[in-house]
Amino acid sequence: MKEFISMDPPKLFDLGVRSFFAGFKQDPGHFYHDDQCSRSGPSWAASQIMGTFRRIVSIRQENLCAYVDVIRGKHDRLMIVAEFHSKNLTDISLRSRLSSDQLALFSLSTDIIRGLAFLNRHDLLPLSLTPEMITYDERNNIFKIADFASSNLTGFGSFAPLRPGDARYLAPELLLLGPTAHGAALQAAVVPSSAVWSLGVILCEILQIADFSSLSVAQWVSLILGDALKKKHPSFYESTRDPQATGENSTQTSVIASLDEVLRDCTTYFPSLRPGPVTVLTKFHETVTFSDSPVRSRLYDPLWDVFPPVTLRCRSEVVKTPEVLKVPLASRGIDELYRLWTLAGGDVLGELRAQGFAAEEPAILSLPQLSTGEQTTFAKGHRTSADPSGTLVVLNMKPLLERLDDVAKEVYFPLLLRSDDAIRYLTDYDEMRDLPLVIRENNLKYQLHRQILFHRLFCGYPFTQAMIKKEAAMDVPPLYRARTWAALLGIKGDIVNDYESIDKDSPCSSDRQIEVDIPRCHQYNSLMSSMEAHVKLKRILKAWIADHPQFVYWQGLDSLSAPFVYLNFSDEPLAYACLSAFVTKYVHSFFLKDNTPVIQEYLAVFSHLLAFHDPILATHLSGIGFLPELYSIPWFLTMFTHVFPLHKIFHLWDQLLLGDESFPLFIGLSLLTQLRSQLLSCGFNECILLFSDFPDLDIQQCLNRAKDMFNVTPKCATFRNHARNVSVSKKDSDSEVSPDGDTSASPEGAHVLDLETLKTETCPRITWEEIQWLNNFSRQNGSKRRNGRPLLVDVRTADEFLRGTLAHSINIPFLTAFNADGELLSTFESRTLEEGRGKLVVVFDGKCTMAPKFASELVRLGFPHVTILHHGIDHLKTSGFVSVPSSST
Amino acid sequence: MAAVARNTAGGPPSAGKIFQFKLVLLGEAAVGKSSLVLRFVKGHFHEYQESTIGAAFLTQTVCLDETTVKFEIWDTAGQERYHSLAPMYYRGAQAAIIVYDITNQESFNKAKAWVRELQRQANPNIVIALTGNKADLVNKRTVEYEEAQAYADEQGLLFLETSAKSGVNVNELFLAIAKKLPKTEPAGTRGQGQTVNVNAAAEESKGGCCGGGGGSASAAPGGAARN
Repeated sequence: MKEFISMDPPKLFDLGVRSFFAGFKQDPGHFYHDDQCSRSGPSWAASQIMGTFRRIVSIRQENLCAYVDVIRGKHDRLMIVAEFHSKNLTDISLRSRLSSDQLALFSLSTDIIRGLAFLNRHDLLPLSLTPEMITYDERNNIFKIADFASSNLTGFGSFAPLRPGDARYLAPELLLLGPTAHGAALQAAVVPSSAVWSLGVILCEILQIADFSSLSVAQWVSLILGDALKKKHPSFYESTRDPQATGENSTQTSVIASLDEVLRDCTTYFPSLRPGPVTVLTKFHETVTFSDSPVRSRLYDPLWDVFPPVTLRCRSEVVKTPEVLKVPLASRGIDELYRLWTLAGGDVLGELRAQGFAAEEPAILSLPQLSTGEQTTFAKGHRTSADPSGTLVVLNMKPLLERLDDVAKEVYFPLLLRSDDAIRYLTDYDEMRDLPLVIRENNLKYQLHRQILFHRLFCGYPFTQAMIKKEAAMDVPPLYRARTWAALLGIKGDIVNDYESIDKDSPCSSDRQIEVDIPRCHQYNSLMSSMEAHVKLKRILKAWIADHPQFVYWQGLDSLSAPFVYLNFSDEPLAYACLSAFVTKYVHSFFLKDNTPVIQEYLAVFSHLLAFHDPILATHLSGIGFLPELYSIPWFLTMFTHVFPLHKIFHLWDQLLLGDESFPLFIGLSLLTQLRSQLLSCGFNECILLFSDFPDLDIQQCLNRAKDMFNVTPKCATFRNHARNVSVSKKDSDSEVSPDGDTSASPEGAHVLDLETLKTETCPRITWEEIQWLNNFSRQNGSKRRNGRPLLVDVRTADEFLRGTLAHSINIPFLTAFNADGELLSTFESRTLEEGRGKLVVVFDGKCTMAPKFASELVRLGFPHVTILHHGIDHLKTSGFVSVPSSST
Repeated sequence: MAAVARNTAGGPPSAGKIFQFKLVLLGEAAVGKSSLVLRFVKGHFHEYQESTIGAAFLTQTVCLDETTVKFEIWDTAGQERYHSLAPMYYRGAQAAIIVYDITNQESFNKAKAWVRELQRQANPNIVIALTGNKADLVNKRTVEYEEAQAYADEQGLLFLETSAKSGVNVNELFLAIAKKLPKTEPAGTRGQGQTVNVNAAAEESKGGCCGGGGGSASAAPGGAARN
């Protein structure tokens, strides 16, 4: 046996790439043609292809060669990466083996018909099959249809030239249209049985029922159409077969006899009489009995199964064949492999160039020759002769194998549950944890480890939800972002059925608004500008509206939905489930018809938090009238999707989704503090202009700052009446994790405060329960995390103070606290307060009458972390916490 | 065209007085409010200009013969649901552009509703310009020029048909407003008045928690000095 690493790429999946140029072909009958928007041109066409591709990439079945990636190069060159097998039916030896092996031929036929039936179910009808498209996967001993979606991808020739396939395999109904047919006319003519015809013809060819090689395409076409129109024989098989010929090869004759009915069915001239793949499949099962069909080893990828699993199923993730143990990388799915290949330095365009394609053209050649001044230009086409459209280039997997040569096998089969958590990771990855995110995301071995880990965790979802959260707090492997987000949002149950049961079609009052918003939602992104994306976004929005009658469509919901649509492009029900869960958690009630109280409360809390963390900035901004209402509504209503492009949103939401519903407020704060120095030196106009054209910010830095602020903020400070499930939020103990990923038990943050009071006050309220919790916390954890014990400031008169106060509080009577310039008069107590700057300050009086004013003054003086004791001390009189201060304090 | 100075936030031309005016854009969703502003301020046009949430703020300066007019432009969200925010932006505005789409009759009706609302609730001296945008889509016109002109005359509004896409009449629109605005007070007081108005509007919804309601741009150094 050969050593596995030595030139043995067929053990892995092979990947092939085809490249072609997008271009828009005017087709008045085509439904994509949208003259109102005058969307056209190669870029638009490329977007359409990319949109369709993202749907097709999810069409995975064992008899179909998986599509993996599409890359858009210069001049709207598209490169389609797909699973590749070098053996196909153009191979003479394979053909001759098949022609005499009944069982193999049955396998071929059923495999291909199964693939076609699957495509049929997904409304993908290939124009035809050619021998080249029928490939043989030696590793799994299975036939697969390659390149099955090329006609769909090009919009049947509307968005890119149709690759001229061999016309001899085209069904008669398509031959009738002539060689120039394309677009809607061609698409309309394709029926499920069109490809069945091709299979029939290929079978006839293999069995040498008819001799093809001697006929030119023109002769062939006239033969077929002539025969079909004569109506003498119902099928090509019958008209060609020579009943007298008793072949010298008796095996072959018996094979033909056994396939008689199938051949006749498949090559029926009239499409209406020709059975579709599903019917043929049932016939096959009737006529053929697989006596000793070989047991096939299959890789099973649970991620493509219904997600998430409804019940716990013990599933063998990996087929433990000796082969897999020797090349453990082969146990990974094709998407993981491709991702690793790119991380190992794989470059699709580079591979094309290395093989003599995609040569650079001097830029001057692509200058437009005529421009109408209305965004329409006429340019010379690309030199397609130098770049044969659709030529297949096989990607070189060797560098990947070499770079992963030294990876220990245990990495491929990690143990998730060990008694000692600390040894779960290999030291290598421990070191990686502190590196910048961008490095981790692009490190081959780290991503290998992360992908395997997450994949395994998903297999156990939802029981592994807590572990997924913990891992996601470190980073999210980009390949599995969609699934990770779904797990973080706790998506469970039969989401497909739930989504399908929602009425997405009936007209609703927001239809016009949705119609005008979708074509301008994240259109810089080529996927989001595809018609496919527009249709999906519309359906998801309409589903959300229909399913949430208490809410309405607000502009901005489109933007908010875009990340989910983008990531779950091929899984609309999951995209919808995520959106729905996300809105409930983070923007609960923002989409009420009258959301004014909700937004006002949210922004008031935001102002409080700003005063709490950055009193100087807060004072300046409120002084110049730069109020949250004027700039932050789009931030929070769209959870920053209206502010940042999608690629930034991904990293932002990776963290946002780990936090509780208050975390977005801290991201907002962080945005302000990032621009702190500019804001402090600017007046109203300059400040607001700064946010109209958002500067390029470092998202990671922003998130780190947000997490830091989140961690030192009392839970009470973020309390909102309009937040989701106020009373039950803490019962569900593992539902909230801090953005660091640890489940920190914090006390009840609930307190009721009316909106008017909330808006009048500058500082957040804090409950006595939380103060006690913080006291305990600081006692247990030393003073590291929250700056120790809170500083309690009793602002009542000295008399009242002496009659009874809270333990450890200092007395600074409000009426005598400040001098005429508004500065704190220097006393022992005020000096204690000054020295404690940065500590959590709790200002209290009897009934919250003076305390809010005193707290505001402290903010004006630049004291951070100032809070007000909710309800005041009078509320605590009978609680046993109020005592006469000892003379030493 | 030449009268519009680009990127003049830094410093006004030496000659003449500078007047600051607050201008608000109102109108149905997707009629081209943001596109008009972007064409005027930056000279850009995006076919698929993203929707406006809440409002956006931009400034641009226009030079007239003797004076310089600085517009502080509030570009509002068009969706009806955001209507409750609109008073915050139009209160205290000296000028308003009410935009409709000449290919959409409904947006013209909405424009009339905005005119009525402004006449009732906005600054009584507000200069209102009615604008039929998307004039480049003339073959899809559903709102006749004469009809809109007659309405504008009857209500005493400025009226122009514009195309943010081609740029036709966009600068002319802002110039016409600049010319019609009364130039009686020097820039300083105007500017202050403007800022107070924003605060007043905001305070109304905010409950006046911030104390510094009367602040203006000149308050900025004070705030910074405490740093």
